[in-house]
Amino acid sequence: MIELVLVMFLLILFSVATLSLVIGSSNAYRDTIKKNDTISNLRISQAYIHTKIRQNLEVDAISLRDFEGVENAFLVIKDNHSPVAYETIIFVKDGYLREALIIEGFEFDLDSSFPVVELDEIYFELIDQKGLSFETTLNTNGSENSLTGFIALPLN
Amino acid sequence: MIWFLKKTKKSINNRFGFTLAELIISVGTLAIVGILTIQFFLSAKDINIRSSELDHSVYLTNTIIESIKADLWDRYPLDAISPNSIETNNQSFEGYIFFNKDWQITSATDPRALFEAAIFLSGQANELGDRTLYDISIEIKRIKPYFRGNESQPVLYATDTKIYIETLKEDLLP
Repeated sequence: MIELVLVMFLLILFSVATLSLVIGSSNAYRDTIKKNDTISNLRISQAYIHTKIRQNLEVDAISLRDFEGVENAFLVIKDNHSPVAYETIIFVKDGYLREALIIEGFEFDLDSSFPVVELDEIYFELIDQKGLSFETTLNTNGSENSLTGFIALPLN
Repeated sequence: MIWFLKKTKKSINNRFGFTLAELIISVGTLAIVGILTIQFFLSAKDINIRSSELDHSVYLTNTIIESIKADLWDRYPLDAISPNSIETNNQSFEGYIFFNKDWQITSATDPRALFEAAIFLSGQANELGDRTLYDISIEIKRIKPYFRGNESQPVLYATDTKIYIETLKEDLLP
């Protein structure tokens, strides 16, 4: 009888150990996936802004503008190639990096934009009109992850 | 339960059950499976760390090159180049920047320093006016090895390119 109880105890012990291993592993896997997504989203946002700026890397084409009710300045990229001057506006709202395309001089509505990638915060800074620094931030599992990019701007 | 105990007692009497060898094999199997599972997740975490560090390295390299192009020697990250590691001789430049695990700038003597960015500039002969074409080489290195890595100082990212910038002078450098 004691042998039986010992064997049962041993099996229960292993069951509990296996269960905790499975729970621990699934949590670790979930964290890994989230972290991967975060890295990927940050990389996408940086690559996206780099590409957008590179497409219009001309004198006075890149500027920053403040909009009412939004904390950080928006990036405004002027497109001088079309017959009508367009402006691409890049900003973060409701947890997404968003882009809006408007005709220069027209009123801009925050809701008339489309989401690009999940992002919590973006901070643009023009440095001495020589370069544009942009830091993208995404919070995951309570930790803040960010990537910083920089592009030299053409001078007059 | 009573039925189970009776049946089990009967089984014991019939000398059925687990032998020591069976128990050892099952415990061994579970242990091996457990170790493999843990190793799998450790590898996944390691790959994640490497991936994140590679991203930072690529963007840091771009930032350094673009900052040099913009002539921003007095701003991040070029202002962090340690002055005693700069050599301006025959239009060449060598500088190092150190970062901690959060990619915050630190010094070479800081025990928390984890990454090193080595910047090499070498001027070409085709100098034009006050501008020169330089060969630039940047290498981002991890000073400490990875948990499961073989290299003591793995190179995260390295690139070579050319940039046409204002000719380097002593007062341009930090």
